[in-house]
This record gives sequence, C-alpha cells and structure tokens, in this order.
Amino acid sequence: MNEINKNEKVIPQTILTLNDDFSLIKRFIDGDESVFKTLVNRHKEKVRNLIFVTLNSTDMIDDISQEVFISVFKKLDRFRFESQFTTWLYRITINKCRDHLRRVKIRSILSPFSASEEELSYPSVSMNDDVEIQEIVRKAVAQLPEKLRTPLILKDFEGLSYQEIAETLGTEVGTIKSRIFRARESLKKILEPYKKELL
Amino acid sequence: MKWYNQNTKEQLSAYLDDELPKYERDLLEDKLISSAELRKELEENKKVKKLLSSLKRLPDDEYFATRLMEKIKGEKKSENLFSFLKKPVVAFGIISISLMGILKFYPDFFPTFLSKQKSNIIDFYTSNLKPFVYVADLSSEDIFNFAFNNNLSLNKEDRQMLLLGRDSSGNQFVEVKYAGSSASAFNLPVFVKSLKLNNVQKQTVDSILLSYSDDIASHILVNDKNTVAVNPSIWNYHNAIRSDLLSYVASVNKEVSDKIMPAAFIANNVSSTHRMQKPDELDEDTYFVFSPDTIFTRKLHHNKDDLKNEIRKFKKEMSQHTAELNKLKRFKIDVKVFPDEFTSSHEMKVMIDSNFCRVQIPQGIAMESYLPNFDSINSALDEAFDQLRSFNFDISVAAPVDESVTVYKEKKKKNRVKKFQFNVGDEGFAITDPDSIANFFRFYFQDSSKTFKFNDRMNQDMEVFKKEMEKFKIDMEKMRKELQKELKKNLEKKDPIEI
Repeated sequence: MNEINKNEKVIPQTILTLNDDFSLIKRFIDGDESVFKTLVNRHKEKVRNLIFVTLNSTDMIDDISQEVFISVFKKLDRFRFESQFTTWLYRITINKCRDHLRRVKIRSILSPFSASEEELSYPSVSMNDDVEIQEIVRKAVAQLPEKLRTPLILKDFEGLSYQEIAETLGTEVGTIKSRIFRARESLKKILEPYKKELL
Repeated sequence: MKWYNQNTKEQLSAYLDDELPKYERDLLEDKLISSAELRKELEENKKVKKLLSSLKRLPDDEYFATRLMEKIKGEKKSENLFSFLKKPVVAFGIISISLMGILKFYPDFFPTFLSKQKSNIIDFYTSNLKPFVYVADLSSEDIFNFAFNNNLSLNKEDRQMLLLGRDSSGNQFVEVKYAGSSASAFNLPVFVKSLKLNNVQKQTVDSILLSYSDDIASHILVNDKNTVAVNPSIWNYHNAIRSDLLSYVASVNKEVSDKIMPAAFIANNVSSTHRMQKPDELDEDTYFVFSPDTIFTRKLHHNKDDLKNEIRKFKKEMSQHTAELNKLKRFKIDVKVFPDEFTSSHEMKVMIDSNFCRVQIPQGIAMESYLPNFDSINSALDEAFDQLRSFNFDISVAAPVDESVTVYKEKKKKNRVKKFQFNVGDEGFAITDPDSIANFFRFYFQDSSKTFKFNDRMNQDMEVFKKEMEKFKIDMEKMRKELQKELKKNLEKKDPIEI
C-alpha cells in the first residue's frame, strides 16, 4: 500500500495524459522497472472489465488479468510506439480471453455434462431488479459469436473508435462497422423475450 | 413494409457511433426526418447501446498491481536461475559434456545400464513362476492331444495353446498360438473306440497319460504376469508319451499294431508297455520364456522333484479351494512386443505373427540328458501315428483282453521303472530287454550315421531286391543294344533322294 502511494507521489495519475503511456514505457525500456506498476494501475480496470464482459464470469478475472500484464511485462521492451498502448493491451487481453475460452471448450468436449442447463436458459426476472437486468444483458452478450461480441464490447463498453477496434483486432474499419451492426441486430433478437422491459 | 435496406441499417448503426462521414451523415439525417420507421430503428439501437454502456464495472481492485508485481518478482527469480538453460546451444552443450564425461570415466555405463534394465525385465517376468498345473488341471484327453495332435491347451477360454512342431527344415519349435483350435478328429475317445479297448484297458491308457501330467506341468511354468516358460525338453515327453502309447497298442492288439507300425517297428514279442527310467536329479534347465513384452531364454534352476511335490501339494489343497483355483485360471498370454536385442540369431530364432509366436529350439540347448535322443525314431513314430490316424476303424480286429496289463499309478512307479532297462553308455543306448522291440533295431545316438540296424529278415529281403534290380539293369542294357542295332539297319537301307 505504501509502495503504491510512493509511486503515485512520484508520478501522480491526475497529471498523466494518453501520451504519458509512451513516456512510462520509454522509462521502463531504459531500465526503470518500477514504472510498470504505474502502468498497471492506469490500465488494470480496463483489462479486468474487458475480461469480465467477454467471459461473463468473475472466476478467472484475476488470473487472466495477471497473465495479460505478465505478458506485457515480458514484451514491453519490444513495443514499437506505432499504436496506442491501450490498443496493444486490449489485443493481448482479447487473445488471453480466447485462449481461456478455447481451454474451456476443450474441457466441455471432454466432459459434455459439465455445462449446466441453468447457464444457457433465460432467467425469469422481475424487471425492477437492476442487478438481474445486468445479468440478462451479460448473458445475451455472452451468446454472441466471438467475432461479433468483441467489437461490440470494445465499442459500447470500452468506448473505442472503429479505427482503434480495427487496429486492436487487426482488421479493416469496414469489417468492424459491419460486425458491430450485425452484433446489435443479433443482440436485439436475443433480447426479444424482454423487448417490452428493455427495448 | 420497410423501405430501407440492410445498408441503410448498417449506416444507422455507424451513425449512432458517430462513425459516418459528413456526406453520408447528412443523407441519413434527411432519411430520418422523412421516415418514422427509421427513427424507431435508431431508438432501438440507442437502447441496445445504452444497455451495454451502462453495464456495471467491477469494483476497483487496489491491490491488483501489488499482487502482480510480487508474482513477476517470483517468476523473474526462477527464470534467472535457469534462464541459461533455455538457450538451446547451452543446453545441448551441457548434455554433450555430461555424456562425454560419463563415457570417459565409465565406458561401460550404457552397456551396464542396458544390461541391468534387460536383467530387470527378465527378473520381473521370471519371478514367481509356478508349474502350469496352477492354472489348469491336465486331463488324460489334454495329454492325449498333446501327444497325438502336438498341442496343449494353455487357456481354454481364450483358446490359447502351446504347439510343438517342426519346420520345413525339420527343426523343432515351440509355439504359443492364440485363438487356435485344439479340436481334432483323432482324440482319445476315437483312439479307445478304434482299438476296442475295454474299461480296464481304457483305465490303463488314462493312467499312462496321467502319469505324464506332473512331468508336463513341471516343464511349463506360468506366473501372474502372463508369462509362460517352456522347457524344450517337453519335446522328449511328447515323444515318450507317443512311444508308450504305441507300445501299449502293440501289447493289446497285435493285429492293429501290425497294420500301423512301420517296418522297423514290426515286432513279435511286444507284450508290455515301456517307460524310460529317469534319474533322480537334473542339471540344467533352459526355458523359453514368452512374456507380454518379449521372448527370451533363461536357465531356471528348479528341482523337478521339488516341483512335482509342490504340484501334488497344490492339487491336494486346491481340491478344497475351487474358488481360488478359478481366480488363478484367469491367466492369459499376450506377447505384444519383441525387441531384437533380447535374442540374436545364434541364440534362437523367433517368429511372431498376429496369432502366434514361435521359438525354434537351437541345436546348442541341452535337453535333459537322461532321456534318449528321439531323433532317430521320430520318423518311425510319426509314420506309426499317421497310420494309426488313418487306420480303418471298421476293420474287425480281435483286441485281446489282457487283464495282466499293469495299471500305472504313482504308487506303482518304482515297479514300472523296473520293467525295462536302458543301457546308456559311450556308444549310445540300446534296449536290452529280451522281450522288447530291441531285438529288431538299435539306436546309435553317438554314431554320426544315426541309422537303424535292420533285422536279418529285412536284410535278406533287401538282398533279394538288390539282385532283382541288378538283373533288371542287365535286361535293360540288352534291350538298349538291340534297339540301337535295329536303328542302324534302318538308316543304311534308306534310298537317296532324287531331285
């Protein structure tokens, strides 16, 4: 705790701008590894929330977030300053989420009865309960195919531009535009049973 | 009906995200002014967008960075410790230097290591070997099949059997066969029927066969690791049973005996069965061991008498514990892998197929020394058995009922042995019992010729046959000369051809 305070005194978050990611990375490459903690503190919540929305599970958030930042730590000296740090960070996060989903899928193939019916069905809820609405939306998003879900989350949840999403996912802006549209259409269909309450 | 197309809807989605170029945005806004349906679509999209953007964030984890830095620190420590090993050149270098060091200071390291491993495998598979009787009780029919049909059922349920045979070159082999069939048209009941044996005689045949039960069982050892060890001397017992049965056939039914016995066996005075005398102790025991991983030879030092005592004790005990016996009978042989290094051509020749594994008995392996070498009479035995097999069972033969025939039981073993004698000396051995077939031929085991000496009657016949052949040869020569003369005359008489 003291260490966090100490670092925050040295580089106060309030005065850092977007470009300050670059200056922190430069200092890290120059051998000052202590700045990495500042970098983590600046972006950890983005990473954790992206993992949460993508996986719709809180179980693995801490583990996958640590995997993401350990990967960043190991590769940061090879960062080329051609795109924003967040774009690079999101790409690593999404890849880690994909790896995790792949492992889960393999496990579910090996033990097909592990996926419970409850996880796949729609809960009957009272729409006054905000927590349950949140749950319905998360489950609906989780039902989207991965290639539609990720651009939609990056746009509507993380607030990235089409250009940034395209850079993160390594695709064209036109593709992102199309995928986000298709994601919204699919989401509307999934939420059809709750149209009156939600839409 | 919706007048706008998919493209307009996609533009509407991008418009909501403020991602449309100005020109397209202006066009879409015009459309929005004129279309209530499009405006409704936009509202729905706005709600969807809001649902996602209003999803609650996770509470801030203020200790995340601290935990992460601790983890990175721990990983860095372990990485620093072994990082040099991650470079392939370094790792390869260390392994090479280690190997060179080992080979320099302990040149026998690898041969010793391999030999030890090999020895471990052999010890593993040869441990706790018990006589075959532990997994299967041999009946007189089993032993008859063994003698006549050269097979002994090892596991009736899985139809696994031990086969004795000879290859095309005449070499003896021992074979473990899977899914083989022991059914044969010539079995013990057929044998008894064909000789028209009465009950007493049938009992005698059974007792002859069963008297070999313990001998066979002590030459086939098994254990709980699905290993079967076969002593090649079992071949001798195979032949001994055959000769005993033939002697008995000759004693009870001379007419049948005359029909089936080869010339060398035709005897006038064969009236009693014969068994070979056995010494009290054995010297060497080489076994062929068929294990699930390999086949190999091993000298297993067992005292045969101890084994037999053990077998008798076991039989007695197991008669009271049939459940335990059934458990033991789960024994199954399954040879899967056969590494070359376990055998070499000068030691033994092994053939593995999908349904059998065969080991050829090498010349050098010492068979039990007290038994005669059956090579010289094998062909005669085979001939006799073939004839017995194809014997016309409908021929009425007067099978004399000889009530005085000795019934062989373990108790009477000593008496039985006394009934005949083999003199084994430097020259070989000869049957000297005046009432036995020894009057008709002798065996020369040490003699390189390894041939029979036929009796005088046979020699006289041979002389007559020789003279007839000589006469026939002279006649043929005369005929040839006459033909040549005729041919010459014909050629001289021929007129010249006119052109």
